Amino acid sequence: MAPAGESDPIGMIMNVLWIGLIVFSMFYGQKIQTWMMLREISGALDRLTFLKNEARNVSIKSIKAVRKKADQEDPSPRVDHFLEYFTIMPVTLDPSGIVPKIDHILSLREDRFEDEIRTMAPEADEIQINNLEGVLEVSVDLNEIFKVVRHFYLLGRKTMSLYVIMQVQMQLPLIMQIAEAYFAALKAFADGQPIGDGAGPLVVGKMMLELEKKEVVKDTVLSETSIDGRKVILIKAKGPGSSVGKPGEAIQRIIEENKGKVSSIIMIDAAAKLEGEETGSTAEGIGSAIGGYGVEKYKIEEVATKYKVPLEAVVVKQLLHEAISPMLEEIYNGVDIASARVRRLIQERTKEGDTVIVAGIGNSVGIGQ
Amino acid sequence: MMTERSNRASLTSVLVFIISMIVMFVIASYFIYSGYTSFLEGRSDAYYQMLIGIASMASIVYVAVQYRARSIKYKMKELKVFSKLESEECGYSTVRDFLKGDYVFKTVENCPKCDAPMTITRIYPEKKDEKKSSSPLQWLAP
Repeated sequence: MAPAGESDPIGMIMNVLWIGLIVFSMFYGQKIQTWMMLREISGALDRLTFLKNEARNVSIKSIKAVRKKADQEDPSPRVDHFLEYFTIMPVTLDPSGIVPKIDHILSLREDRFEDEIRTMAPEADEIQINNLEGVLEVSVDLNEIFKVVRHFYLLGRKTMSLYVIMQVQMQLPLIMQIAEAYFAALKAFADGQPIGDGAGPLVVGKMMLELEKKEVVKDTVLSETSIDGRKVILIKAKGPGSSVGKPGEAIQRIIEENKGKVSSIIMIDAAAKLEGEETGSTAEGIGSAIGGYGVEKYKIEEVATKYKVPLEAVVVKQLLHEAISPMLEEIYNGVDIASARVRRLIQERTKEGDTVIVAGIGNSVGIGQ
Repeated sequence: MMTERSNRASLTSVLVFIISMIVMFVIASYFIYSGYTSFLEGRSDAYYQMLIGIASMASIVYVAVQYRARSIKYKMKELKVFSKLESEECGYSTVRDFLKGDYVFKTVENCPKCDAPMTITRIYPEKKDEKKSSSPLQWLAP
């Protein structure tokens, strides 16, 4: 074969083909880019399909596992029906007074979830109901993520608009990270294993051992003890079932009952770490260390501001997927350090005879007290 | 009807994909060969041809890898979880596989050394192999 040149006919054809390819890419480059993006989204969609189907299977299996009678109705249709469950948040046009409305909607949602589970698995005990609630919530969320990505994929394919496709393609790594994190949580909830988010309840649960506990508000337990001459009120979500409780409401009630005579509120929670920070590293600061929709945070801030109670925060850092998957050994080590920090804060920030609230914020799945 | 049409569409796209790959491969091979012979002859266009050939070959590899990535099948890999049991009396500790019903601070079997009841102090997953998997999801294995 002769080298490509003016006198070589094959070389001429190849050069023309090459130039043709360049011209083609000038006109159809964006189409090719769109096609590549669609393929990437389609790959992610395959993965999301697997995740949501597996979540559905785990939900059904978990429900069947807690049933005592074998001849009961198949829960699959009810689970499928439940996967489409949605929550409509209150209107924000007039934001004044929106927190109690959100609180009401969230309480309704929680009650509805529990009722559905009781219908599907009537023999389930309180711990099993809470764990099944966690499993179903994860399944609903994964189903929702799948549907949104599929919507943009199909819309993009229909319109072949680069800008529609780009919206989802650019966010795809983060969406997949969230979906995979939810999926990792699934088995932890199904088996009742502690998750990274339970760092706060673990600190307080350890302090509560051997003490008398009472359920102060729904799914939230309280104990009283004395540390270095201070009256310490311990609060955490009731374990070992999956629950975050209502720590805000509990703190509000205790402070009101004590007529504001509380010297400090110390909150321990899991916090999102930045890339480069170590998992299980601890840090302390001020403010209300609690996540979620903000309802519980609002209640704590309201009562703390009303009575000028200092808010101290201790956090155990971790990534999102670590927070909702089985608790890593590094986080247990962080919990030990956080416990020591809480004791030091009690000694340094309060005086003998003071009343201190120590609240472990997070999910108590797999953590007793 | 819909399934038939979509099957035909996917068969067509696979055929188009294979033909395009073959055409691209022929072009890339030709330019690499041509570049090599030109280089031996000391011609100035050798590097240009080589560049075209290598770029085309790289595109083929990229597209093929992308195509392969699509056909991966996922399956669930069981994550091993352990329970650490400790005796408060003598400090003895042991680790066993997690059993359903285990939770932290649960009192379980008696200590083989001091016969006092042992407590679960930690429930944790096996350490993931950083080299094997960079994905946060340890259960998914292609």
